Amino acid sequence: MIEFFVKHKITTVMFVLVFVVLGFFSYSNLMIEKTPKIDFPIVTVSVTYPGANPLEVETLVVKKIEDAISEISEIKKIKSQSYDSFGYIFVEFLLSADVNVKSIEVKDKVEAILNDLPDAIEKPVIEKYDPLIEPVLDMVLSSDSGDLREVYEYADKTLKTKFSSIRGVAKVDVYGGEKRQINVRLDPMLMKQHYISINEVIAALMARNKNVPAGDIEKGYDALSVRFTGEFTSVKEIADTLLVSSDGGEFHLKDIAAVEDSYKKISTVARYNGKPVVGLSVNKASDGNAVFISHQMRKRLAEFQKSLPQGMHLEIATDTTTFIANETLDTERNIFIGIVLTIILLLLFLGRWDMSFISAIIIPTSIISTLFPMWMSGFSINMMTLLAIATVIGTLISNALVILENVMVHLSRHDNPEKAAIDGTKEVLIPVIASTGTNLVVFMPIAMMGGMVGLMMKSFGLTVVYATCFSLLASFSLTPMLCAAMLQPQKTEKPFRPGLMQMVISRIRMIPISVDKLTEFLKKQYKHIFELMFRFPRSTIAFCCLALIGSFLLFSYVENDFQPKSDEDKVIINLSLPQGSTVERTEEAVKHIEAFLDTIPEKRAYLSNIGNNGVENAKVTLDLIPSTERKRSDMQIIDDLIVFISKMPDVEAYCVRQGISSMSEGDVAIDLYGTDYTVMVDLARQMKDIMNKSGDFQSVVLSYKSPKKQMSLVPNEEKLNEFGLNAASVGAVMRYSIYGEDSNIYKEKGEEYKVNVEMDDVYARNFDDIKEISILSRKGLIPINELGELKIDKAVPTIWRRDRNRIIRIDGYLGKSSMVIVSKKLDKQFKAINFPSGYNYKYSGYSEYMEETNVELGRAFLLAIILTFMLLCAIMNSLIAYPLAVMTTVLASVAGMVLGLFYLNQSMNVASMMGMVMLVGMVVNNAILLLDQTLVKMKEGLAIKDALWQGASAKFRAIIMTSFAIILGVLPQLWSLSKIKQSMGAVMIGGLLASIIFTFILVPVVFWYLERFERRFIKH
Amino acid sequence: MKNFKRKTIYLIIIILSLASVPLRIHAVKAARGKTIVSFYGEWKKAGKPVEVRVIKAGDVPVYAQFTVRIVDGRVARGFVTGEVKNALQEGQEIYDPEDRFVVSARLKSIGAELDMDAGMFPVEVEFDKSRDPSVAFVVCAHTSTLHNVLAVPNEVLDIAGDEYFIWKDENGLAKKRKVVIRLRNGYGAIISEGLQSGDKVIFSGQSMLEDNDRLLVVDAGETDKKEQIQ
Repeated sequence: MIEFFVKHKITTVMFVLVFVVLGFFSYSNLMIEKTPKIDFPIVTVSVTYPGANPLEVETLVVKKIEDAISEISEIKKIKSQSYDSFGYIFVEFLLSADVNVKSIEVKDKVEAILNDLPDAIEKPVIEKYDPLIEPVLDMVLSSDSGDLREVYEYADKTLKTKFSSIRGVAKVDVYGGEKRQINVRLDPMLMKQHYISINEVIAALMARNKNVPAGDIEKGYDALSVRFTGEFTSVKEIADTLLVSSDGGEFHLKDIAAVEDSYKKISTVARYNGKPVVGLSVNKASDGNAVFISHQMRKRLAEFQKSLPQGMHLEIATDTTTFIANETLDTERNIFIGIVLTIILLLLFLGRWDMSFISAIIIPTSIISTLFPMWMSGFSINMMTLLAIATVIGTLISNALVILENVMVHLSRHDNPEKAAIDGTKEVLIPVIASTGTNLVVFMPIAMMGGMVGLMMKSFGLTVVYATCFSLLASFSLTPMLCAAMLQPQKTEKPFRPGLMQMVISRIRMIPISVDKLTEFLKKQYKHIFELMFRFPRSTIAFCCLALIGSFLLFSYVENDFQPKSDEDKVIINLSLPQGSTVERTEEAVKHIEAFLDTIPEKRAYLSNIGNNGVENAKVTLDLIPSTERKRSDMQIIDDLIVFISKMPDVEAYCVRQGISSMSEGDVAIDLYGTDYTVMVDLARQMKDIMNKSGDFQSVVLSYKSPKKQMSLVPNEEKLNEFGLNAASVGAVMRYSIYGEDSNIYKEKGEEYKVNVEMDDVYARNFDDIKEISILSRKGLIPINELGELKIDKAVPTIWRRDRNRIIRIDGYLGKSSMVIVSKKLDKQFKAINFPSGYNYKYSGYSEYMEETNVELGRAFLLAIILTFMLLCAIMNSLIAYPLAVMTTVLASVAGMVLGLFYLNQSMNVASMMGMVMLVGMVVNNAILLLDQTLVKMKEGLAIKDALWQGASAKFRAIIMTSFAIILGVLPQLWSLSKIKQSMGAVMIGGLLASIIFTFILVPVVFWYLERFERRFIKH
Repeated sequence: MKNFKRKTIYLIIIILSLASVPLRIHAVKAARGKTIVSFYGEWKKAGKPVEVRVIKAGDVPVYAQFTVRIVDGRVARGFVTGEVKNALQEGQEIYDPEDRFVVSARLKSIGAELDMDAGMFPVEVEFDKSRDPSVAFVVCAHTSTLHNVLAVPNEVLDIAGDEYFIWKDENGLAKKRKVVIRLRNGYGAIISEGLQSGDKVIFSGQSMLEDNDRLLVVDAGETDKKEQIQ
């Protein structure tokens, strides 16, 4: 086959080019995303129950839905949260589950119990959930006039439709501003004067606002539709609605109420750079392309702006794809630098342009060709696939280098390039296949990992497999062919003529010579070490073992977390005010923070979203100028923010860096279980105190919030009977008077607006005001407080549940150290707390993912070792000496990995663990090269020790060159913006450096012992 | 000699490698032990932020609210309950409920007879300028005064079961004190026990407090009429 490729040059070029061309064409079809597309098997159910407190939401809605859903198979966990007026259920299924099928099953279960749920709930919303998804863009619309009702109207009715038409957009959420609504504000004093209660007003409006189709009148061949059209056609008509009091008096609605074409009570506020705006969050569909959507939005922004009404302005406030683009660019730049460094290394080692070109051409051909199977597999260009390519650069070239080096040896003997290319390639066929095979068997387990991490890593593992396969293909086809076509035995250098150019050339030519000299010097030094090793073989092994154990002991000084966060030019400030605060109070707090943000020189813009998750809560997204243009890091800015916010009364806040996922959990998240909520609150506070005192957390937040005060009317049954009333009618009057009743609709120009009837705010402020609410009884109009006792007490707090048990979540946001280290520390300190029986805690959030990842990666690591061992046994037909000696480098590489992380100040995380698995396949290559040559020499009749020296000596240069090629390929990752890439780079570099050292020191001695053992005890 | 030199270099390399380990361990320990900026740390250092008001015994005006409708130019008519009617006087100042320091009208007349349709007593107010006859206006009038009382806004009261508490600033430390409420309605709470004139009461920031927390007073002052009773 190799002969065929060497002799059919055009065929070979075309063979390689086919994949390159396919790769080029595939590139345009590949989506650019932040993370790989994953169908998370998570379904959420959101239910709005207006006016209900958390306990009512929990018992009447959430529990019932949880019970119904729990019958579905393959459930991993059920979590829920019950707030004021709102319940949220989160169902996570096993990864084997089909999320589409499960979503339908959840829908069916919820629909089946709809009749058991309160009538007042709004239709439950059932959605698939992707924790990695976040709005592609946040657009903001503002107006010079400051009329936020007009702005909201345009955003909701016009822009939303326009944005939704862009391909890939799933939904557009409008927030902030003032939503148009017809408000009927009843005056209780005037109502008393007219002897009417709110129930009659609502009923009269409902009865008046009707269109009724009356059927068709048919005459001959014609039919005439008949309709009763009684719907309101203007706001004035609503105000003029005739009301009849129970004593027969007639009057108009406007006589007892102010009827206004106004807006809904504000519950969300959006502010951009300190100005009130209406925000539009553009969310992509699961198969949508964020970069495409952003590109389209930007392209059409001018068109959208042109069609805006006079005085309105549309801007892009946040764009998550900017980070994706920067990240992609950063990785591409790193790939490019890696390639350049590798080529420079080749030039230094080989000293010839032609040889460097032959080896280096493998990199672009393999990478471009890889794009084709990536597209076929449905992958995208994302941080995982790019990381895969960045990591594998050096590996791609190593096969070609080994072949090239051997061809050069043959070329110096035969002086016939074609024969040298064929023989040189054939000779190293086994080590090349073995080293590629070890790479592949390692990446296959990564690609087949289970759990969430498995889904993330699939594209990583397979991309490496594709690239490695293409490099192998090119190494056996293109490399020998190019060697035959381009390489000539080195001729004697022409004498230099004096001149500047010649001086420069001579200087450049001196570099490879110096590298040669350095290699020879190192080899000479190694010769001494080699002799020393075999003079004291046991001591050598003991020394290596000590070094390995020592390295492992350093592991406790390496930080350990799931996913390190980096400076992504974005800081998110989440703040909560006490329960019961109004949206105005929250907005005041936000304005105060905004004033501080204006003083931050690194600020680019900021977007405040108030009330999106309850009126007491707000989120301020601070965009910073790029980190390269800043003097301060995002963490230093966060420090300043903490100092400032800590001086604001009643503001509980936490500031976080933008991360990969939009998960709102803390770096350390703990679920506290129990039965009695009071005991749980006490325990949670003790735990929070310990966490705060540990000094590791910037902020610690409890899911339990001190509940707001509530006023309740405890009905007196006798009174109710006396007045001929029941709890339902009294409750309804109270609810309509305070919360409002908005089921009536007013239509205008094809749009529908709610008509909300409630008591005037002036009479709905204080404790006394409830006495102004009247209800019509059989004894006439009576104040509602006569029907029972008015009490003030504390409302029910927000209720969180997990797997149908109540929990309190404690979220800790770290300022230093890392999740695993801090969790271990906390565990020791939590022992001081006396947890009553039935009360305990469990780490959740990232910790759970970490646990799952450890199991999956551990399994992949074990499988990788077993497969590599089996492959080595199979290739060399040896069971002990060769494979075991080679495998010692794996152990050494793990020690190197720890040292890499330790010295380069990187953490052990999901990426570094993955790097560890990858190293298994890479580090064995050096030992394979060394021992392969040793075996050749042994077959020639040399003694083991001599053969080992000959093998090490012959492959010294190749091992150094290929290892450094791989190291230089991943070296740029150390300077990457992303901590994840940095830690992977540290693992790879540490592991590979250790593998070089231990390949030359440990492997020969171990092989020597094992070979003698094998010869003595085992007869093949 | 050459061998000695080589061994020395090897030794130096080994020593340097070994020496770097404790150095790095020291750096890791220093990083783990460093003091970070945290909310807890800031509160420990400077105290928890609160707004404090000195409560002084004083007279507290009580107002009644009612709705009127323009019947003739500046004159508007409305109805009040018998209890309110008895507390009103002709010619007294009528205020806007949004701002009780602005006199917007005067009480023109108080009907002595109960209006049978409304079940209340008619009152007439005269605004200082003519108003839109199609709109109803909510106004308020001073009905009584609570003399020499200690009053706090309802918002500063903490409830636990049937007991009421307020947070006080005592020598820079937060103290949760039980109080007894003599009178409480929509416009405030009159404290009969647990509060002395001159006590510093925490008006905001109490949601984050625990007993004996150090306080950082970000806003201090005395209560004025507006804050005492709304």
